[in-house]
Amino acid sequence: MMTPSQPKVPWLRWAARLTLTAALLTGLVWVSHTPFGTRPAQGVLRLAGRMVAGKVSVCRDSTPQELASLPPHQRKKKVCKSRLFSYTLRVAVDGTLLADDRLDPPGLSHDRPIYVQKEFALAAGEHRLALELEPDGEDETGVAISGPRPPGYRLYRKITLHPGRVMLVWLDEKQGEFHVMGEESADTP
Amino acid sequence: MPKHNPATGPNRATRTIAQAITWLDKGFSRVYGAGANPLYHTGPLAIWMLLVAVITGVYLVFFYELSHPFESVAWLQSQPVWGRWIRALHRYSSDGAVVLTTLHVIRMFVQGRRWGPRMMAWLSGGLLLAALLLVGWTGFVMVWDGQGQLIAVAGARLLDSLPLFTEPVGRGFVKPELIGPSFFFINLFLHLALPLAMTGLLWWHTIRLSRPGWFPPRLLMWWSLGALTLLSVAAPPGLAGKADLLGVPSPGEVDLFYNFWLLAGAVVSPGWQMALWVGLWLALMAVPWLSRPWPAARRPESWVDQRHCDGCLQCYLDCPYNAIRMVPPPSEGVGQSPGRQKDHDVAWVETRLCVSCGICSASCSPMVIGPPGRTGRDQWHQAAALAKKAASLDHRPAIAVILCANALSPGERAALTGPDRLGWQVDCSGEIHPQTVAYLLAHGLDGVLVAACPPAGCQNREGSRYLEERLSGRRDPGQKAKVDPLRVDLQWAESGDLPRLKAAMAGFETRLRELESPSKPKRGHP
Repeated sequence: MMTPSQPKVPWLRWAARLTLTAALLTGLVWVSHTPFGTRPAQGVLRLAGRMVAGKVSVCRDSTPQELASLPPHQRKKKVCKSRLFSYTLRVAVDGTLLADDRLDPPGLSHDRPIYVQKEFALAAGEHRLALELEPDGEDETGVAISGPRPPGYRLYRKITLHPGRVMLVWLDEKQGEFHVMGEESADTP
Repeated sequence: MPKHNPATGPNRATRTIAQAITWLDKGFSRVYGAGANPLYHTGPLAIWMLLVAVITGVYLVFFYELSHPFESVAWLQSQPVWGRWIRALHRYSSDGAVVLTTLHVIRMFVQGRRWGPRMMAWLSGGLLLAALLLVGWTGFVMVWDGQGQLIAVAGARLLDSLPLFTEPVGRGFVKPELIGPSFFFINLFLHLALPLAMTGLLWWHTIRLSRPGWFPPRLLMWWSLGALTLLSVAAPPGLAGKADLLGVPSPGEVDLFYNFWLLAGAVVSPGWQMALWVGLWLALMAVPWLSRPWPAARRPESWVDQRHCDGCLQCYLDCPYNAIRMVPPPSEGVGQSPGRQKDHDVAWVETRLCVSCGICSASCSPMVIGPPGRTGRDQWHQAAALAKKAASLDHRPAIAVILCANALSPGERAALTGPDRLGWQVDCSGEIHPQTVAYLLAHGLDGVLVAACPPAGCQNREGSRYLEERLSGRRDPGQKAKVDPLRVDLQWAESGDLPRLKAAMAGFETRLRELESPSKPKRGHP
């Protein structure tokens, strides 16, 4: 009742099956092993750290309207919010400023730790690194933050970057200093 | 994406893709045979690939050490038969699952199987695709080689672009000391838990099918498994060297089936990448709403004239989508002939599940079920009109050509019909009632040629198979219809088959002339 639409010679059909299957498998292997990326000639400077110091209370006087809108037992003359200090990060390599960023503490109340995580691809070789992480005395709106100022952190030194390697500059807040990791090349025994 | 306008139909891009798929279908059918054409079984084949990946993965996980992930994989890699090759089979079957799932999505899209009753399958399919890619991501990270490090760090950057985490996810990859067994435990947990979740999604994906095809035909199963095993032996994937968080990851090669998203990293920022991939996935999930046809272009669902239903269950058994229920007959006076209370259940169509395939039209002996205008009785009227036309034909043999709209393009359908060959187009060959064919043969037509999709390629799953069984008397109501097999020519057809169909038509005409010659019996049932 029906006519199949296939080559009538069996060996030809099997040859076609094998050929097509081989072609599909070749495509599968090729996409599964697609060349991607080359070993970079540059090195990478990675900055990382976490800061929780500098918790302060930012207070302001309540307005008469605010006081009037509250029940008597909830009326406070001052409204205070705890927050962390903002910081300014400056990174200069060989005298060139690579970053000058203000780091605000995350969270609605700006009370979450600040995480620093930055990478700079640089030419392999020796460089002069100047790194400053200073507390900022003002909040996001430019209002001065009162309270004890937390410490700032600074690192000035020569670094050597190797091709395809990462030099990690890690802030150890407890010890109050930067640590440097990965100065040795991958070939160093 | 505009809704389909009934005047214009699917847009040009969809038509182009559909044409490409048709040609691929035809090419693969020629090579593998229509029954074992892998493109007709993309869904079951994807499940089969996943099953192979699960079985090999269960074996591999026994050798995986959370405290030394790379070293344990490297040890496996050093064992040729029970390590490297099994790992290769795990990898290649996972790759195959992505390829087949993608082809399945494209196929379902261009065939319009994405909205209405099929929306649930589309949405669960979108979730399955996302879960599959996530499982793959965790799998590559598990190895903790250069590729694993690359996608772990890049993935963390994507996550950190979302304003969700107060502590950056990428912080964990800043220095080697921060990555430990707990990270690999969570990763392994996800790698095992997500496939379990996928099992539930697969159940949801196929819940609306009466007879879901979980596995492909055996030939295809063993052929694909054999091919992947050979590939695993011939070209097993290597290891890119242990991940080094104080090194710039440069694996040399990546698996683009799973890690295609890395390509965007060279062009756009992590935030835009995240927006791109999430946006594409959401667009995929929104396809059932965005691309549904205009109400005027939708085919109406089946209905039943319960007064005349004889409760034979055939439509209930035949419906591929579980859309027909047997319910107690309506009480007297409500849709019931006076004084004739039925003593059996009658069919009832759950319209929200009905895709209007019309298969039930051909199931029903009394011809009282089917989409409006396509029931057996409607077909009977059309057959009567054809028979009337045939009576006025001088040309002999007089042939009716019944053409499935899904099998051939409009131009091909037109080329097969003409003044001497009376054409009749149906939405799915599964709706052709055998009594209609018998009627045509008994009322002036010398033969009936039917061009239908190959059974494995039927867009309504079982239409072509049922047609063949009904016309050959192996399925009711075909047994009652007693169609003369010598005067019916059933051709499995795909777009591009016009020359072959024309040749088949010529051969059929010759056969009918021989049947009409005085030396041979005129009609009969051998």
